[in-house]
Amino acid sequence: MTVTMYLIFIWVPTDDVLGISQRIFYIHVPMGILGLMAFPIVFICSTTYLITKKDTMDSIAYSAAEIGALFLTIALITGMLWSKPSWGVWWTWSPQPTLTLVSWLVYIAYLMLRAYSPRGSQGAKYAAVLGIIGSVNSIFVYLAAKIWRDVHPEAVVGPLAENDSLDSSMRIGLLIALLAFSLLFTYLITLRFSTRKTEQKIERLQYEIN
Amino acid sequence: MKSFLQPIMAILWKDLLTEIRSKEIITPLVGFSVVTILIFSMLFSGSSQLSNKFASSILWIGFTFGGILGLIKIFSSEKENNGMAGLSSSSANTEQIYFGKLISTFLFLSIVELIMLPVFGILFNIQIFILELWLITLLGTLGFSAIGTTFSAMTMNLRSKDIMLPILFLPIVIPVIIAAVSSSTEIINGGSLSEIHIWLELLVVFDALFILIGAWTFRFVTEE
Repeated sequence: MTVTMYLIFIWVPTDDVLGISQRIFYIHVPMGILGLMAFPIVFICSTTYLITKKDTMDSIAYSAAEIGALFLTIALITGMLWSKPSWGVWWTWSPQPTLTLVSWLVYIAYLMLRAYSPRGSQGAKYAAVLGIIGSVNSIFVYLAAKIWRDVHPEAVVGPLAENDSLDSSMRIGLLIALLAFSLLFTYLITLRFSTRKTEQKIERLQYEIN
Repeated sequence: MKSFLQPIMAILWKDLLTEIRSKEIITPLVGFSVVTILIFSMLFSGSSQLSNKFASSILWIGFTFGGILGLIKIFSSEKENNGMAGLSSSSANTEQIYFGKLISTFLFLSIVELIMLPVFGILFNIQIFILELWLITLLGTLGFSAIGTTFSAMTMNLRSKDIMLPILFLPIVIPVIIAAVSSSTEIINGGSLSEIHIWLELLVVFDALFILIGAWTFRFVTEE
């Protein structure tokens, strides 16, 4: 993390057009990507949970949704902070922000559903169903918003990227930031997962005592 | 095939009979939706250009909010009378219950739209007898009902279910609303089928996929 922070704030060159505000890009993009990456995890774990009824799968899905919500919150805030100086507005309804916001709403709905549903397997099943529907839905949200309107910059890294749209040191900076935040993402999910396991153990013990 | 359809038709018939006798869903829904679009029409009055651009958005705001009230009703009446226990102990399996409920939800919402579209045409001075407009509306409603039936059954057992249904349902139904509003706006402003075919494809795939997911997951949201 320290290396990443050094790279973001000191090593990478300042953008010619956007200036210093462009540095938020190295936090905004990984947060957005990883926040959305939680969807496939939620989808796979929820489906497996419904088929096998293994509590472990439910706990992973729950933890991924929590961390996904956290990362998307940061992506939304940094996105708005960056959008204001570069585009002059806090918010635009182009595909990526639309997808991010709707996904964030789905995660919040997922977490609220867990809080409001009956304890035990019933609540877990409800959440798994919402997890599956929400994950599949995110594809449609993106498609719909894409057909609807499009002003957001195109993908700059990855298979869809156009060549030379990023300075090479900026690209390295972004990839290292992505790697560092991926590690943080995985670590946080594992942490939440182990906390949840302990919680379940305590609940079981309490149940046995009573 | 016949034995698969029979319980579905029985559930549909039961819901229709209940509705004809109690008038709990369609009448209040029409009232609510019409009042909603009336208010918007009033606020936008005097600016015909603006209302042409936003007319279909207003129509779908009316549908969506009215539809949510309908969805709350669809399963809460079952809950009140312990109808779910009856349905589960009948010969119908969960997929059949899902399809029965899906068709009755779709039918109720379509009837509401059948009444609302002419009101909408009069208020916004829009030609509503366009086949494409009805097609979009029906496809949108089907997607709406496909997800709505699952969430309605799910929220039935939650604390503060009336609030939870819109919170869970609205983010998921956004693609349907975007597709329906964008394509209706095109059609109202003289667009042709070729301009909106991409939206229609999106709606068809959305509907098909979520009906499948709904039919599969329904047993998990209803089993105790």
